[in-house]
Amino acid sequence: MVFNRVKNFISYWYLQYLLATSVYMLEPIERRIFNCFLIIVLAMFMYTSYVFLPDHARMIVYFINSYILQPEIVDGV
Amino acid sequence: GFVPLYQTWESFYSWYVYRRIQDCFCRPVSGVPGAKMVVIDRESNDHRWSFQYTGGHSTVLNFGSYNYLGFSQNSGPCAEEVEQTIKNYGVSVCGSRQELGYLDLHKQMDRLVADYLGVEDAYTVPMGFATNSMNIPSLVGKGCLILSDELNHASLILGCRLSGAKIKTFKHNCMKDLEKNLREAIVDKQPRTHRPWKKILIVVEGVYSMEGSIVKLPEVLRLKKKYKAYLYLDEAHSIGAIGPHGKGVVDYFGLNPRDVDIMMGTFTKSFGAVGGYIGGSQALVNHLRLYSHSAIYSSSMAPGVAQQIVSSMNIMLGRDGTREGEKRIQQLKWNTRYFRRRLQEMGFILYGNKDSPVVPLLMFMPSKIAKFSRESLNRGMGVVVVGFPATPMTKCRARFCLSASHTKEMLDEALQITSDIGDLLAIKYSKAEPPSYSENDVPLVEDS
Repeated sequence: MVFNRVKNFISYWYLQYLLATSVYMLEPIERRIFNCFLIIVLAMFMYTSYVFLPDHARMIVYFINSYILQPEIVDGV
Repeated sequence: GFVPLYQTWESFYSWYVYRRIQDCFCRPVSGVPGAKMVVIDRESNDHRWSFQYTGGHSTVLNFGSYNYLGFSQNSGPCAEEVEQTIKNYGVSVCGSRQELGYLDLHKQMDRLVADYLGVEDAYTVPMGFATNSMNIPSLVGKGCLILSDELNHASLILGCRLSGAKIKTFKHNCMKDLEKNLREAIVDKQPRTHRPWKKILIVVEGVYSMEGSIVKLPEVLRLKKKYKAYLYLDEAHSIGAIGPHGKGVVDYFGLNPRDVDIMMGTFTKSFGAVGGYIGGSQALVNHLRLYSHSAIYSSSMAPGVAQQIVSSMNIMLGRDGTREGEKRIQQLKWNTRYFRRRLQEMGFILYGNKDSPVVPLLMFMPSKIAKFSRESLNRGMGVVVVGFPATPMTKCRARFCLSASHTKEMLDEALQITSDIGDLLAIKYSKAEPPSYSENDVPLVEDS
């Protein structure tokens, strides 16, 4: 019963993805290639954000704090 | 150099988009396309480059044929009279209008069309497309200006181009743009020589078939009279379908048919026949009878078709003694209001006037129209879906053509199917308020 509901949910959203990106009109081999390409790109995106995002976020917070505590003097003297 | 054989965008579109959803277009049907039609099943094994018949037939609700008054039948009084006429006159006339092709049947038909429209005389042509494309060149020529709506039909555009006149388009149904173009035309005159234009012709349609919008005729007539231009009104989809007596868009607004200079229409959509007519003043029709291309070069209307027009128009005018014509008009109006109200309440985006029997349902994406078409055929409803060349690429739509032969049960079934597919495809985009009109103020004629 729950498995049916999950299956319906996934198949509805898969259909919406196919229609919105017009992958619905492609032949089966093209559909597989496009889906593989999309999964590879998403996987690389996830990996990059897992590796680099925490350090990057820490740097942003550090720079904002440094601007608040001691404002930069812009005009020389 | 030479004209390129391979047009980049059109070929790309037709091979990579149209070909992939080609099973939604041009489906073969068999039998009479009345309220229900029989679609022949076919399947494709090589991704829609070619099709094979599976041998099955499916009977589906017909929302794709132009059958506004329900005259698309192969039994009934019209069909019997047509059979008798074919026995008397034969199948074809084999001659053009100016030599041997003018029967007393054609004279009766012309007279009847003129009475139906309320004009002085009318002239009929055996092909609806040719009525526009071959008769506009005999009315305007070089040195004239044509102001045509940007969404006019291909036959009107072809006729305007063949005539050699200068063409300017104005925004769809926008009277401010039309007035601006008229004023500029009268002030600036012809482009190089600055001589005044010989004639200015405004070309509009009664009901636009892809949008379902009705032209703002009172405003067009006011502008026409003020700036002394001529009006060409193409009532292909509105004759018989709109108006309290079914006499078209002039009847719908309650105006005088003598104000419109050239009233053109076709018999294909409402009267179950083929061909077109042009109605107007006696001088206009005399000129057309002598100088029109179809009077000289094409064979005139077949007797069976002419008899179908005569019979159906007699029914619509009430001259056969029954109230059948009135019943059909009221049934069509009721169907239109009911169908549009229910679809808008469900949350679909529709185009068009609340009274037009052409109902375009927007879906915006080519993939969605393909899915809609396939699903609705599986569930028993046949609709026409339109995509790129006929509409802009991002405004694909499905078009329902209502008919007086659809009963309320058929409409309810169609609405249920549309609602199910709408939930599946998530096309219930509309955030407008529920409609304020309803079908309750249309009185139906009961069977006596």
